[in-house]
Amino acid sequence: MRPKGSRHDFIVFYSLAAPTSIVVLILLLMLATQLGLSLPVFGVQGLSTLTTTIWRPSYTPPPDGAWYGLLPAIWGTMTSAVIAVFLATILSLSLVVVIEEVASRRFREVFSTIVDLMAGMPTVIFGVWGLAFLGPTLEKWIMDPLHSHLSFIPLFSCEPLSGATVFTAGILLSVMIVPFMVAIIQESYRAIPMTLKEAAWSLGMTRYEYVKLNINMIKPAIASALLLGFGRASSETAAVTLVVGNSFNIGYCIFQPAYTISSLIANQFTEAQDFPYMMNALFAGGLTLLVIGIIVNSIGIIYLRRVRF
Amino acid sequence: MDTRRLKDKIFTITVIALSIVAIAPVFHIIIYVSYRGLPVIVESGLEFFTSIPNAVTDPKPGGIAQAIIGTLYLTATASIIAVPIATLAAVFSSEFPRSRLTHVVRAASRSLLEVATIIVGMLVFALLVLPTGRFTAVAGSVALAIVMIPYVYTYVELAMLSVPRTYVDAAYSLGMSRALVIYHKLRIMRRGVVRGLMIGVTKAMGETAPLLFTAFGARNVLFGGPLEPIDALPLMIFQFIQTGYDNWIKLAWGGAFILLISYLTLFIVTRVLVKEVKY
Repeated sequence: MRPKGSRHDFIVFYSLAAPTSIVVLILLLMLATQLGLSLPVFGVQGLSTLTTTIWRPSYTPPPDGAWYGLLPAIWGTMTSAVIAVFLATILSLSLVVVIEEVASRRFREVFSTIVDLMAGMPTVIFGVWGLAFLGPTLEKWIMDPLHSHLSFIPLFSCEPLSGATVFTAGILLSVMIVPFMVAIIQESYRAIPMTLKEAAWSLGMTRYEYVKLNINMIKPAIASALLLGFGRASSETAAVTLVVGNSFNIGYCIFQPAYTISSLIANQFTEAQDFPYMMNALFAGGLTLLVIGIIVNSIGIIYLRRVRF
Repeated sequence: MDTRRLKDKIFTITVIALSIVAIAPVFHIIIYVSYRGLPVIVESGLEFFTSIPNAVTDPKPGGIAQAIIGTLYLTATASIIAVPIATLAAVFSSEFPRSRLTHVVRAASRSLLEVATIIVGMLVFALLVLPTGRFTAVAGSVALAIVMIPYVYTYVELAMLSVPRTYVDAAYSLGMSRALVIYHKLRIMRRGVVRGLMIGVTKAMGETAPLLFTAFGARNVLFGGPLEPIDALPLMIFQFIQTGYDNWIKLAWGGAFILLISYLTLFIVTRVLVKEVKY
């Protein structure tokens, strides 16, 4: 749109448009770099970069010497994010219900403040806590018992060798994405018109029946929170790298150490310059993360728009 | 008690229990990090804030001054880059809400908020580190600035849009030019702008991933200048906690405690500021 109005407005428009374009330019540059720098590896290895499991850095370029398959890292990202979202959905729904319907006004304030406090906490702090406390605790009290009693279930079939596993990463991520999901669900919950809420109360519903009705009304928002939470969980780096164990494993067992895409990049990027195509393979990982992020976030936002009253 | 009431009771107790489970970690984290970090600071004494890390064989851990200086330097320079760009972009989109560029920049900012911060690190690596062949503090500042921009943009735009329409109309009716009106809007909403800045700074201060391949970390000097690698608190914590050396693990915990305290302080200050934004 061309600005209408005086010549002065015209100057204001264009002098502001320049810095504004920088913000857009950053995003475009990001897409261009990830795409441009990952193309070489796709040129040599093709799409099997995403579907093979071998990671073999070497001075001889692929396919003869080295090979860079990202599948284990993609698998680790997906598994840890699914565990995180599963738990965080239950926890954040409970929190929204308590904040909105159960707690007294004073406690409501306290709960909200704590949720905000969690939302902005530096992720590396979650990471060191996860590494030193959460991992060993889960290993002793959850993973070991589950493995020794229920090892016939594929999820629990492998023995946890340390506290650093996909499972630990999933649990830590769930703690980290709860405040984010609470914010999305809460916003929609508050948007339910008072008249509907009052009508429900006037029918003599119990709190359980009333909350169930309300939750049903904001289902798209919950779906959206799930997707956006998944996006957050899959892109987390510092905390996950400290607790996920960082080794190339793939399989249904969640008690084994693994890589996620972001932890693979964090761990191997600096050395990657020494080997031909290795850095490009890591950029291909970054591109995968970007694409996953764009897909889940777009669908999430579409769902969020479906909440209408 | 009939089944409906019983169901209701069970439901209420369950959601309260689950909520406590959800928020308990934050208390445990604060207590646990203090419990591991405070003794280190006591052990090192003043040296903790004034010296660089000791050798791993040294009986005392030494200090993390280089990381504190690095974090202060990086967040300050990142703010200097990010705040003007983000503020002007926010002014643009609140002044020209129907412009196509506004729609594009809002979408771009939303995407930047969601992008994995390690990808920001990779971008700056490709743009500044790869061509020059060295990790620099400048690259770290740029990476943190990119992390900050969408936060500052979002909050400043919110602040600008919340200036009552009547004020703006009154300003124009006095014959003020658009630039002057924008100036006055920013002035009355300065607390909102500061809040955006604070949230951006809080975010940038705690970031690890964007610094891994840009600022890189440097632990043998207090400050090497903008064209040398530089340390930062989160970066040092992240790298030291993974080493097997007692001294460095101790420093990581001490650093984590300092980072936590800084975060809590900024959080409270931002809260107080927000409470006072009133019309």
